[in-house]
Amino acid sequence: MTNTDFDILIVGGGHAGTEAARIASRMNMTVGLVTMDRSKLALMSCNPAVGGVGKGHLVREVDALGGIIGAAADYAGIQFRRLNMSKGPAVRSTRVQCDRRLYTEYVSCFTASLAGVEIIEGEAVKLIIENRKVKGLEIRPASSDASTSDCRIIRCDAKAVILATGTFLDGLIHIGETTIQSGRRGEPAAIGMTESLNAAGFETGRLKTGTPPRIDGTTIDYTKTEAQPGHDPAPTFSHFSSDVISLNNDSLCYLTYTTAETARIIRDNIDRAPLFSGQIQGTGPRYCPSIEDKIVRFAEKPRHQIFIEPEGNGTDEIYLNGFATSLPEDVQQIAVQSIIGLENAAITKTGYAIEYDYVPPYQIWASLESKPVSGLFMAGQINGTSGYEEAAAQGLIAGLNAALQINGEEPFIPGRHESYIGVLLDDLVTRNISEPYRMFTSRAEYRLALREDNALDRLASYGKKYGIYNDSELALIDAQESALKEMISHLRSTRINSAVVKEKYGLTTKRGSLSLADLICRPDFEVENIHDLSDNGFLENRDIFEKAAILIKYQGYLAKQDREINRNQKNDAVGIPEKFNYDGLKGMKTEALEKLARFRPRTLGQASRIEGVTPSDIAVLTIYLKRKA
Amino acid sequence: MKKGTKTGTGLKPSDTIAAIASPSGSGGVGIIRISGPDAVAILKQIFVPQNPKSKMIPYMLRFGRIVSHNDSKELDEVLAVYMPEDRSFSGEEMVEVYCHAGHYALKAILDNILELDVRIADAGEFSLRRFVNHGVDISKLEGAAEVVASKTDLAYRLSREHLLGSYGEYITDLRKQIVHLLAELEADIDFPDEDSVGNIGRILLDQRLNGIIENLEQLSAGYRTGKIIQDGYRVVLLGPPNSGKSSLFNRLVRQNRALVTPIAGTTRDYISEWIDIKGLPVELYDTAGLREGRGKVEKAGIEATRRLIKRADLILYIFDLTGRIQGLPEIKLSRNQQLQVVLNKIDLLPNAIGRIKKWQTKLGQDYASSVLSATTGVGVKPLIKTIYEKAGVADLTESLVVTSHRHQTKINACLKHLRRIQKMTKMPSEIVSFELRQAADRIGEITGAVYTEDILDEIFSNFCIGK
Repeated sequence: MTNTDFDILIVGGGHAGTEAARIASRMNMTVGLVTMDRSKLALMSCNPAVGGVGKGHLVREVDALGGIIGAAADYAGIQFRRLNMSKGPAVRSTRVQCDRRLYTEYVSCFTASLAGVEIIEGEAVKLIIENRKVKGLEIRPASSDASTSDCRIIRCDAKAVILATGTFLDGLIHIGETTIQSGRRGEPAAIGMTESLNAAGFETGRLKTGTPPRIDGTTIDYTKTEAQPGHDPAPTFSHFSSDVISLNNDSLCYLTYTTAETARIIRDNIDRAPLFSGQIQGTGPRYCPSIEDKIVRFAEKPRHQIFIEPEGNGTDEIYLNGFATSLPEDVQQIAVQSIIGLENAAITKTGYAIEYDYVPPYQIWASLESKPVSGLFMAGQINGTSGYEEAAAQGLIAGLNAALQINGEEPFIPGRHESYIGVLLDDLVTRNISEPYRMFTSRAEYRLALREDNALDRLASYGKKYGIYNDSELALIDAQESALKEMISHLRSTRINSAVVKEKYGLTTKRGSLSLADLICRPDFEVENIHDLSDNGFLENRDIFEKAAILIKYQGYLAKQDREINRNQKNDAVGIPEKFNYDGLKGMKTEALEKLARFRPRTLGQASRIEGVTPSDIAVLTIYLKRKA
Repeated sequence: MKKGTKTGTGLKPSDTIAAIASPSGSGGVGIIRISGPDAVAILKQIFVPQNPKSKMIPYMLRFGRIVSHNDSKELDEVLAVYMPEDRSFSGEEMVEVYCHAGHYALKAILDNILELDVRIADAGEFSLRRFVNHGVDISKLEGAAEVVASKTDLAYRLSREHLLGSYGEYITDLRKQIVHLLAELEADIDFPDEDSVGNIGRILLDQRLNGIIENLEQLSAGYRTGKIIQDGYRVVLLGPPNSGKSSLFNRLVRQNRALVTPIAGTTRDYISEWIDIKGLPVELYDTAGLREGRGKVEKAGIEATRRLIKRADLILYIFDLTGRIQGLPEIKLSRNQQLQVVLNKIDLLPNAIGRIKKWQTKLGQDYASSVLSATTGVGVKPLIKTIYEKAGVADLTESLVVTSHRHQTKINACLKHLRRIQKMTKMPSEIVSFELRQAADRIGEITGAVYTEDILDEIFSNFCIGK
């Protein structure tokens, strides 16, 4: 280690930690990134895919603000798909199956090359806090052996610290009756940090997640399964870095099913499942249950889908999506072999459940800075979330806000109406997070406005404001903006004779001619067909055309959504002082007062979204705020 | 500075609200109150002053007519007053309209206003705006908070109590159905890989939707019932002179209050009486003949009759069966008004089948007629039954009655979104969901908000999500 004094120290080199390092570097900060193993940066600990419904939106937004995750997924992608194509433009989502090794390689190289970023191999064991302000960390370097030389603990100073500890805080792995203290299979847990947090006044809780066994792909009979290819043309994430893409879209996923035998095996061994024996106390996610959970809760379902996903091109190992389990190893073996096509399958890595500590997020502000200790930020699973994409989004926000704080500026807190990142942040500070939080599009009440296609349009003004773009990125943003304007005016001004429309598509109209925009608006016209009608090269830029077509076709609904946003924005514009005192406020219900004092919302809008706070409580709160003003 | 952290900005409400400010069913004058930045602009769109040159002066009452903003149809004659923000109750630009107190007049005007960019006021909202906008003495603020809380809590308690009965169960169940439908759609959107979701095709969606819409329509109709029970069903007797209006009126009220003479034109103004038909309160009006009178008194009576026609729920148009066979005069009926022809004096023509047929041919198929004798009472019972049926009230002992206009507004807004889904068969599911979400939000304003968590709970308890 050459340096012990940084602007920002980041604990954890996962999807949150690396994004935080990247944005901090863009903000010209000096960064120390503390990780136990520098070869495992942004490791995909669970499924080998990035994106999906809602998550793809987050990736596009992080990318629009200069993040890594989109470019890394494009680079390491081996199969690209676009989901929900028939359900409307706002819920179309990109998902990329990745080569796990390539992904980590890309992020590791990239992070190591970042200006001002030093990677520190070791374990952060203690926070240094003075007067409720974070001052740095005590770090045990990876090369030191704790049992022989405790003295080799190094103190690093920093103006801000970001905790992005993933599942490592007091991580406890369960496989059947066996438990192992571990942060991830084969890696040690981080033991001191929870104690340090508790000492600083934080409450901590316990969550659970799980992962399925990995299988030797050469032992699978794929003829009994259904192949799922990627989509052509391959949809990608990144707005800026098309040069790093070595597009490889040939890999297949496969769909298969469990059998009645699978259900029988699991039921026969249910008393050995830590999930049901009381051995696991943390709460797991309902959207990602273990196979034993599914068999028990949906007993009437004769079979369950299992997706076979490749872990990469250079390996035969596959990921058994839908079969997360913490059953004992011997049960996992026979249960896996009861799946269609997996009769002779060999397990390469056992599935497991893991419990870990988190800091319930009523203890953070929407900026991701902690309430009890200033300068201390939290991102990712420590806030009770789950998923690479959710972690990346928080890493970006924590890194950016730590840098802004050091520069003496106000934090960046995007609203619910302009980004999924905003929805995520707002949910964290207004909801009780009792299970690992994952993004869904249904969480976004202004969903129609928050599309993958317009992520950059929604966020570029902030990126410009904070100076995170380089010259070529700025040029690209401006070029896209004017291309969109031109495209829209082209579609509005180019007219097609109605006889042509009738002859080609059998569509009738009372008017003599129609503009391309008129055609796009018609529900009986397939937008794709527009390519037959316009041949002047305008439509070659597919992304721009699609974006323009969405704006034209859905303008009525988008306007409606805008009106709703304007109506509901009022409460979000009313601030509540950080130290507002809720003690003894008259006219409000006790439950509301308790919740408000706990979450300490910073706007009337946040207050109104806290469960148990009624409109009449908000009315009364308005009066007290008026008095303070 | 970040938008939203500054205290004290944006506290001023920026939208315009309206509500009926007079207590329901009492007094002769109804008050509609509009408050907010667009209050005057709204008034200008619907108010036609009697004197077109009169100007809007604060606190000066002006006489005029309220007309429908979209077709300029007259709704009522009113007095309107404007109060500037520095001297109004709410501390905002305010307008009050004083109109006839009948529920339908009030409701028609308010509905007309709500179609403009105006929101119906929440319980206690005028008071809340007053507290927010007026510089209130700090020492009084705690009291103010209590007042607002008790006001809104009272409203809340009242609506809670209201929601406890069968009406409450019914509407809570409707909310559940909408949330369930939303969960189906959302599960399909958020979990496209799952085989247990996405089974709801358009046909099933329509089926469920139709069921919900039907129930909401019944509720909405139930509101009509509720209001009729509260305000009465207005039946106006019309017809040429000497056709026997007053005799029938008397027969119906079994009282001899109207003056009956054989000389045309003796009932100069209208008189009214309440009768009770199987629990349905009917307000019966006897009118002057719709004949252009010559005398001043008669003219005034005819003018009163014209106004009465506008506010009638049912018009009984009475002809003398033995008199000259003639068609109906032109009477403009609004959507909610009905007309029933009555052929009187059957007692004078015992074998009248041929003549009745001739009348009916002349009147046309649209007007089924009751044949009766007001003098002997023959045929009056069937007419009473007809009046009850025309009122269209559900069985009063069993129907769900929505009595709050606020609820009625929400139910209708909810219906509007659901009907839009019905109409557009090619909507992508995210748009269906958008409309459904709004429908749920409107119902939620009666039953308590529908949160994403409710929908997610529904998804995870009904579907096996597991990829």
